[in-house]
Amino acid sequence: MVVLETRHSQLEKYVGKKVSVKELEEVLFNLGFELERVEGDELRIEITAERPDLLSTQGLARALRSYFGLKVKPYKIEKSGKKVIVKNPAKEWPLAVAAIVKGLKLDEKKIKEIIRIQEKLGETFLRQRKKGGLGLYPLERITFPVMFTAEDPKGIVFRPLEYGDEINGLEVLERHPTGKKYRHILEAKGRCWERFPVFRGADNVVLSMPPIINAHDVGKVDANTREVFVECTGIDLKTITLALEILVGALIDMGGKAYSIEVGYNKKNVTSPDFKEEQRKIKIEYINKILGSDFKAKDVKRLLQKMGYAVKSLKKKEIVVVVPGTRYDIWHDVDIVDDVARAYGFNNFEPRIKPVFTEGETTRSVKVKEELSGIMIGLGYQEVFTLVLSSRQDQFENMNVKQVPHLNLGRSVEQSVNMPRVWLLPELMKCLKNNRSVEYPQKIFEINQVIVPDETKDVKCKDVLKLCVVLCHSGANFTEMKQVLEYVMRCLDLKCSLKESEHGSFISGRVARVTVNNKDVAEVGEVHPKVLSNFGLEMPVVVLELDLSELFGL
Amino acid sequence: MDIKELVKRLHPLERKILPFLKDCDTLPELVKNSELQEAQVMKGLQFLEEKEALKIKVKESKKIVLADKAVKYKELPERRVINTLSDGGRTLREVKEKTGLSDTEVNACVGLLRRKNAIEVARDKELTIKLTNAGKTLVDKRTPEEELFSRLIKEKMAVDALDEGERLGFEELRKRGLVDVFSEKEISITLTSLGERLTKEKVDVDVIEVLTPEMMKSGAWEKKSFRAYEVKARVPEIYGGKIHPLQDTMNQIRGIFLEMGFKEMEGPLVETAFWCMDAMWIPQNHPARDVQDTFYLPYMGTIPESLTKKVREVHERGGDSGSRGYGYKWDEKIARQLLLRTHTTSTTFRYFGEKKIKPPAKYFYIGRIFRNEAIDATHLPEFHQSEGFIMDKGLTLKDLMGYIREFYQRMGVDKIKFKPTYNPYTEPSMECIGYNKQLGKWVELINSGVFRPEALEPYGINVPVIAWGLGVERLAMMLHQQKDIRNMLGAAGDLSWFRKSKVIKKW
Repeated sequence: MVVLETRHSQLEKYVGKKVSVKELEEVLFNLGFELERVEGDELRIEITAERPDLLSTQGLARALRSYFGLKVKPYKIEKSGKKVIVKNPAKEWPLAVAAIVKGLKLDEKKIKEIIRIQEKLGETFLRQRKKGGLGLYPLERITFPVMFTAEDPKGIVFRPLEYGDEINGLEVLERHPTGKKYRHILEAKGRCWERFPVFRGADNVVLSMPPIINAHDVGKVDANTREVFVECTGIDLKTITLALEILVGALIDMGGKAYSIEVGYNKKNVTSPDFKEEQRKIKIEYINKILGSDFKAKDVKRLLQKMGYAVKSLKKKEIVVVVPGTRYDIWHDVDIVDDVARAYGFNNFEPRIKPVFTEGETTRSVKVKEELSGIMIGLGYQEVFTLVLSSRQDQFENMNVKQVPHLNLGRSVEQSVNMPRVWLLPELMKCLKNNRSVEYPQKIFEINQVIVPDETKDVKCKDVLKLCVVLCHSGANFTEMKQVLEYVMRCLDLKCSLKESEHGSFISGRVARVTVNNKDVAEVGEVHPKVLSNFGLEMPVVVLELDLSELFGL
Repeated sequence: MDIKELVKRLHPLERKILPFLKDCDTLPELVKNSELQEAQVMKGLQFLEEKEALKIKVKESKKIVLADKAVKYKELPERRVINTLSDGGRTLREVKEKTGLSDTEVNACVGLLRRKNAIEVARDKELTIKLTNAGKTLVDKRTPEEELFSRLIKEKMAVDALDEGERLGFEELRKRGLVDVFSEKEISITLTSLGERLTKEKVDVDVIEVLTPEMMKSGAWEKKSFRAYEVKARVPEIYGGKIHPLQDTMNQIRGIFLEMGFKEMEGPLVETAFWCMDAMWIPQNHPARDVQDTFYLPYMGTIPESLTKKVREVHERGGDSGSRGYGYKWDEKIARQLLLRTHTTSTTFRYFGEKKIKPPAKYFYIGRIFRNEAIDATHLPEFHQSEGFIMDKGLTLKDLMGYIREFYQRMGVDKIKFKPTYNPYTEPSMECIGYNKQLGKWVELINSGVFRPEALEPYGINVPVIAWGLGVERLAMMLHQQKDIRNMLGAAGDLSWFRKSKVIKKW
């Protein structure tokens, strides 16, 4: 979800009619967006990620105009005749598109809106500028043909926007706030790129160092600016073209007239933006088949026009529509079907059920868990539910055992976890630790998965279902847990045998391995006082951990 | 309460002391007369006080007794010295012989009597002691401390009860360490009007308190009546073992899916990016694949060769699905990256691609998923998702709405609204909001959609597949009225909350 911050008064201005908050809320809901907050004239609207064209007041206003049945002027663009030459760009940042917009009457509100659109697109659609960066400049200081190239950063010397001195490219990354924020884009494997992207005018003056920052003298737009040069640079042509079109589209709606620029690459020229519209033919039957509806061709025409499509031709069984150039999300006919449904209003469809006759069934693992839970609850044990994610500290060190083969996490935001657990007991020890003020005895159990390495699987590990039973009170002893083990075994009609074993988490001489049908399936023992200390416990603890996957071949 | 009813409920201890309350109003008296131990009498009195039959007054007073070292004296040692000197002066040696006191005792008495100016000590050839005029008066008269001492031999005395003269004596004896002072509680009882009436009632002492196997054998119970209980009295709470609230909610969801004829799936917690993302047409540059949100593991897995080609084609150019595709170069290495699955949909796609299920089919899963987030009251790095899908010809968006409405109804929610939304692998997609009567507001619980042709293409599925999913913890927290997710999942869960938690009525 992306948030569009706009003003109610501004939105109404561009829509061209009054829209009450209630009406706006309803329309946005039907379109699949949300009016998140209203504070006086300020609105916060949540837009879904596939509609970057709605990240400007002007773009959203267009969509609302269509929805209300008001005419929407298609974007018009002429050739400017000006050129941008792409010469030897950085391989990491090779593409540029640009446009010119004239006849603007800018004021503080409009300038704020332009900056807001630029920033919003940069942060969201352009993925914090990693995919591209937008730049806007007063046209008067620009001499054509503009050159887009890449140079040794030490040689890129200019006064960045809102900065006192002339500094070079490297210094921008070190000293300018925007440079510091986005420096990682120009870095790979901890080092800066050899050459940084740079825009220079024909007079060789530095216009900007994309996607970081404009030059102050040529790159600052104010209320006197009538004509602007807009560019977008980055790594994917479709993406940067769309970003440019969204911004230019907003400028057009602000009263400007747009002109495309010919961008000359080594092997070809690209004239952009062109607000290219795609024509798509779609069968009415196809729409009804997916929605379960009963629309006629003229219904579909009306509904798609509501969503901003122009209708090229209409036949009884099919319709040819023109998809607006700024629609990023039309990959397949189903995307148009979705628009038909939104225009109609999802809540206007009458839900129905086509019977599908299948039988329900659950899995062996679920049945094993249910049965064993029942047995443990019958013994008065409280079920707990802990995290699969644990730490090497808790899984091994605090349990006084050496590390066994296990998976490790990559980067984790939550500092207290760094591996998926290989056994349940440490998390249950943490349960005891977190509940020291609760009355004893404390009898808890859990039946859940742990993850152990397994090279034979496509995911290099397997999930193992285990039962862990923990008894904590002032007289807790081995006998009590052996009784639990034997009771569980009798319930399952299984015979188990115990053998003395050694285990760092348990008191020597008070721990045993449990075997069933020649399979090693469990450990039972009294927890070692060192381990109790590590978990801040003073009450003795006795434990059973049983491998259900091994026992039942799950 | 009627007094006869009150009498029925009297505890055996109350019954034993009641007869004596008319005439005794102190604890020692009651102990003596009832022949019970002090603790038992106190218990009986407390029961009666709870019934408002009497009031127990506790008075604390300070009492004086002889110290241990004083107990051996029949009289204070200085008396013996005075007696010895009564008929004239004597040497120290003679005093020692005649009194039979130890050296320390004699010296102490000499020092004491000198302070009182009762004796004179002269140094001739030997130390001689003789009574002064003041001392002579003491021959026939006892000192205040001697008076007090003689009384203390017989009984302990209250500090408050001492008169001025006795006080002087007390101070002296205290200075000499011959007395101890301790606090004593005096218990006195005053009957209330109810208590007065009770004492007049005929109270049967021979009632059955506990029915024993011996009574059953002997038949002794037949001739007696049972002491009645105060059924309104508070009893300590007990608790038993219980299912975990989260598990309870999962079982509830499972029940609904099973009732509706769904088969349960299972799949691995660790996944390849292939099954988790690529298989369902999530592009490799999608924000959801960011390191920020996903737990990547530093290992590579293997992906099915048979599907790789088809998945690559549908990503790059739309394959045969009728899509224009994403137009980027699909990288197999990215797909082989291992991660902790971010949704249960990875398992759904394994069922499409590995188990190759055919329509008609209804499957569901309730499984754990992972998001790379920090722990706080509403976020955990792992939680549970439940999803179900239906694969059959002729399924439409209306059927998706219908099945979801059915599902919600079985959860007890009958007012629902649908809102369009966006998922990379379904189109159309919907958020389904239900009205929670308890909270009195609309809550978004279910996300759903019709799988995109691009997502189904690699598996040769050419009938519609509709699906929906919900976050289990969110639902569980709503049902169990728990605001902190850390109490719903994780070792921080409050054991006392589990013990007190209420059953969700599914009837």
